[in-house]
Amino acid sequence: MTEWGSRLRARALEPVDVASMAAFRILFGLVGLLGSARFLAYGWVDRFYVQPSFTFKYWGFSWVELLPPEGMYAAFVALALLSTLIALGLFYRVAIALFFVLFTYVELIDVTNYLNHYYLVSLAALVMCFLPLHSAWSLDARRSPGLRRQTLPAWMLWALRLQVGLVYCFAGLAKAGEDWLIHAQPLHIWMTARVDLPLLGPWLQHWWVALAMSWAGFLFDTSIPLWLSWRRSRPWAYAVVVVFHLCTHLLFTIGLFPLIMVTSALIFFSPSWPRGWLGRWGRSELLRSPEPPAQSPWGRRLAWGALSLLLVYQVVMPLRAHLYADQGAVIWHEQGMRWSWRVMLREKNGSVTYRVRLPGRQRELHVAPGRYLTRHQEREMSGQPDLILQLAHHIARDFQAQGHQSVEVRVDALVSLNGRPARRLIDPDVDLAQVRDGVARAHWILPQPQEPPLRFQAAR
Amino acid sequence: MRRVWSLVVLCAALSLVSCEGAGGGAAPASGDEALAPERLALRRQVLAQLGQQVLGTYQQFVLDAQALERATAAWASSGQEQDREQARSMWRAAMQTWQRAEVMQVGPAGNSSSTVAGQDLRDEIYSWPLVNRCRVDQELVEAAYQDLDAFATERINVRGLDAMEYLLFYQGAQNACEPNSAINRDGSWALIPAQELDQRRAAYAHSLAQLLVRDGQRLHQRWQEGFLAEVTGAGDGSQAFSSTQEALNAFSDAMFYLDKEAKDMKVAQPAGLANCGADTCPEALESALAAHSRENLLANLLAFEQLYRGLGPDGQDGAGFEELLEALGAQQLVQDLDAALLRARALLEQDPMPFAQLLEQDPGRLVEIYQGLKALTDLLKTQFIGLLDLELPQRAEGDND
Repeated sequence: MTEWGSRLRARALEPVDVASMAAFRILFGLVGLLGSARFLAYGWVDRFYVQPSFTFKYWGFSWVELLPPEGMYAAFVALALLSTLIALGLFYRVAIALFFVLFTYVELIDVTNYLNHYYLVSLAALVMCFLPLHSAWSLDARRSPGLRRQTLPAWMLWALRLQVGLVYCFAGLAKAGEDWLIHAQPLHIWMTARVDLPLLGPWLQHWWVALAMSWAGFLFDTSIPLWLSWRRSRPWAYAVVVVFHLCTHLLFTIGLFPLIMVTSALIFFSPSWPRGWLGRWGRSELLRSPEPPAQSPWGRRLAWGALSLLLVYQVVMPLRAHLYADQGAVIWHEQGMRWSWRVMLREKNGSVTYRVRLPGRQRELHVAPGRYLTRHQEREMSGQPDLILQLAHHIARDFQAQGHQSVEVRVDALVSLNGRPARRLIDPDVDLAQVRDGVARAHWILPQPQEPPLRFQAAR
Repeated sequence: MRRVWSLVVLCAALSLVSCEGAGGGAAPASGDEALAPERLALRRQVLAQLGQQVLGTYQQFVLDAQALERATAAWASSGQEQDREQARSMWRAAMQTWQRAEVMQVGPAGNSSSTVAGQDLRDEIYSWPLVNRCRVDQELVEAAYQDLDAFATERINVRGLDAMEYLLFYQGAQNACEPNSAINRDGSWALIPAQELDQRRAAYAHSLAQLLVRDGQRLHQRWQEGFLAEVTGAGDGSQAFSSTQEALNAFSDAMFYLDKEAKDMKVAQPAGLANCGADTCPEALESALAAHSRENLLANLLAFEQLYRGLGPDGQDGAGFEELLEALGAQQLVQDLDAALLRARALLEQDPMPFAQLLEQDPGRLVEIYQGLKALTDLLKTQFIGLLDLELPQRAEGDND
């Protein structure tokens, strides 16, 4: 091992206060509980997991199926219970593993429910599976004194920081595009629709405000992990984090994303930060004697290996979109769009009509997606080529099941991207029933329109 | 130092953008004359105009329903053919107005499960496509329509303009029920003499017309005394709409009637383009008995245009969605929508032949009408809702990122 490697290893194994990691676990559990409760309280389990008669599968995960309605409700109740256990630190190892499996299962059911912050929750849960975050401030530690730790190795803290930092970093890099930085779109579209917000509203109609916010968002995302990592700038950076996410919460419907990021960013603070907040109670947990290692060498090697693989995966996934660069921007063709932190980059609206050709029939049948989808699914599907393809296959199967042979399915898919005039997304002459989905470049997707998005006229 | 660097980058970007804006194809934004009206004020103006349009349409419907009530009363008392004809003529007028209201299902008229402040009042007046002629014939046998208050609680498919169309325009001695249905099995239908059947139809139609007046007045009143203020006060004290955006979205949702109901159900289905096992499906035509399908569709289109352009009661141009788009600088979209509207209207007006006849003689013409409407709704579903950040109707609420 090189000297640099040895130093890095030594630093990684240095003990750091367990407090901030324990706080991360508690906050993660509470946010998970809140998220599950929202789904149950708002009737979203029914809307997203019971009402749809058809679900869009992720490539490679077509085997993931919906549970019956009672099963889906039970899954969300279970997620709420597991979140509570995680927050309490009770049966933590089992709870976090089950949470990861169940939450990821729920997210894999239907692509139209994909949200970047759900993906983050899944990844964070996976990372947490390898970390003994119940070593302090947990019922497990109270029940089993052997679990109690005052410190954990520094690499565990790094793993959590890296997870949060990667999200910001790639979300920032994804904004380095013409629409976002030059045309201030889609931000200007969204802000213009919110002109009756108190105080902020009148400013939101101005293009230069949208442009300034676009740049602010880009600079914030790309640099905030650094500012949070530097001790001297950290308090100011965190204040910016809070203000930034508060603004996104006020302006956009992005659910728990701001809360998740505001709580996650606390991991960049000093490992002992919660003790100051907890006062005497926090300090009383400090142990005076030297501690045994938190993990066996075998366990550490397993955790390092798994987390290294996860790190490589998380770097590769966002970058894969560049393999399809000759097809235009990823926000148009969507190949490499998911799992890459491309957050709030597009206002995409489509009008999709399938044309079904049946042997012996005079005219093509026109099939509206609404025949198979909920409005939510239809809206999400109408701008995403692989989902348009999946529904084409489903329509072909549906007609075949009715006894028709040689069913051909074509599509008129007109899409407006970030306010541009609508253009065809899919080649209307290709029989989609014959096209197989995959990771290769999709030749049936038409090139991105070249014109810039509309620059809104200035208002008085 | 890094802050300075950030500032430099920002300034450089802004100057780059200025250059791009001046030389690129984007809309110019310099000089007072190029400035659009303040957006919030314009939105309020548009909402006020749209609210008045809906109210005016309901007011007109009440007048039409009252005329229909008088005409059916005359027919019921005289039994004369000329009175029946007069009643038919009044039904057409009322239907013409209601088809405009169909595209304005905002607030109390709308579906209670998917519309803000929806109370299902539309279904009380017109329940299409929930039409059941056999049920109307059963009511003819039972004569339950004589007790108006009790009949007002009957199912929606035995009341309203659609049931009335059957009573006014169908003169046959046969009923629409299956041979094994109760009225055919027990012979109660066969017991009604032909002349009495006509009298019953007239009396039933008169009852329905009275209910239409009541329902029309109730809808008008709910708008005038409450919901109009919700619309005009959106984002400013309204209980129904916390922002002007939500209120505009409610109108945009209503305008999507042109896509699903008008294009897909009234045209694509009979033309054999959708949900039709044969080459054409004339049985799927709306108002086929009255030969009023084309007129209905044209009224839908005109109402859409009325909301889009914000036309006043006398047809003068006011503030509508068109003005919102123009204020953004979306002139090209406005031109495209204008062209699509003109084309769709021309296709509908070019030939007075009833749709049923058209389906027999030249079904391709109905396909052209479908294409004309599709061109319009494609614009609606893409750039129109994109630029105004509107949502598709009945979109399940959820998060986004």
